Amino acid sequence: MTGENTARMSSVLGPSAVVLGNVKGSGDLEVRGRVQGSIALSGRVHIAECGVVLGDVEAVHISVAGEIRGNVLAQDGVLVASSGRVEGDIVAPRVGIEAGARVHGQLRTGGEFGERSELLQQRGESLQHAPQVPAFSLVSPKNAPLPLAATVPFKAPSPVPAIVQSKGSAQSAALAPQPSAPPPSLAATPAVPRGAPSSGEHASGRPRKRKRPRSPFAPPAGAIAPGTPTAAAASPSPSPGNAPAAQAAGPASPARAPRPRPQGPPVVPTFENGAKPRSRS
Amino acid sequence: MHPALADTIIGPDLIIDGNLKSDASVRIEGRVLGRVESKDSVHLGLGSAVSSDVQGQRVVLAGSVAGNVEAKDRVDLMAGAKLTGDVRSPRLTIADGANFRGKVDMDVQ
Repeated sequence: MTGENTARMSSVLGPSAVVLGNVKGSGDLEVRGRVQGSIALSGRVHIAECGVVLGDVEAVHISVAGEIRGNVLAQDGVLVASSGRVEGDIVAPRVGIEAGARVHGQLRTGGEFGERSELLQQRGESLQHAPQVPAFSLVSPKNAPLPLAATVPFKAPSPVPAIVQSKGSAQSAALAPQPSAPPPSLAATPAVPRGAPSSGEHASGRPRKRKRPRSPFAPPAGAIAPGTPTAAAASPSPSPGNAPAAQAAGPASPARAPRPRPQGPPVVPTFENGAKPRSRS
Repeated sequence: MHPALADTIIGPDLIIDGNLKSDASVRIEGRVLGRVESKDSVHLGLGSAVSSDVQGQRVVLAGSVAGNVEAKDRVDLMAGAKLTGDVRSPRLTIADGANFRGKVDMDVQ
């Protein structure tokens, strides 16, 4: 460890070194001596076992095997080793304290974005990656399951195609025959609250679902030409609905298939998926 | 003691706003806004800057110093060095390309 650190560390304060004043700048620093003042670096700071800092320490990453009598502020993380001692507050997105370490002070991890950003602004730095990513990652999964589970037929088309347009068409084509063939299973969820499951299929379930599926479905019947990839993907899907038309579209689709193929690879799997429902139907 | 442990290295991106004191050798590539004191050798690399006095057993200077330089053994002003201050050392070498403005006192015991 020490050999690697010395090779990587751009700055080292030896065990006999004493700094009366502040240390600042960029790069990494390893303190094996004594610093009577603050340390503010845009890099990694390691306080070795024999190192002592009487002042605040601020850096991207701070590992403490020695002693810090002051506040510790890290933009990335703080690690207090078993031999480490911190007499002061620790503020960092991630804080690790090994067994045996002595820490006296307040501990703030994760949140406190505003406070940290203020401290960073004082140094003229901007830290956007660390705090915001987990915040959004926490928000998105909460919202994601809701539209998928509760309102699949309503909101699914809007978010899904944005992310998986090419694949969505293939999946929609693959899924499309299912709603038409087994509507009660999928139609039950939205239809149930409004009416009996049996009546819901006829009353509210079908028209709404047909409207959405129709967009991929309808084109093959009338206007296959404009939507080449979806039409080719959808053309096999309506086959269960219209057997003769499907047969007519079936031979036609391979002729049209070469056009969509250059546009996107997902077309190929659509045929595979589309071919399976044919055999099933 | 491991030689690496005895060394103090101030990297080129580091600024010490204060004094630096050490019993072991010191190598400075960055800036020290204060005194540098060592009982061993002091190397001031090219591009380094010390804004006050420098003391050591031996001082090798290739950066800029605005202060007095004192060494018990010797002082070497390398090419590119810029010293504005007095030198107090039994031995002194000034390389071609060194910039020196000050007095020299070699009458040291």
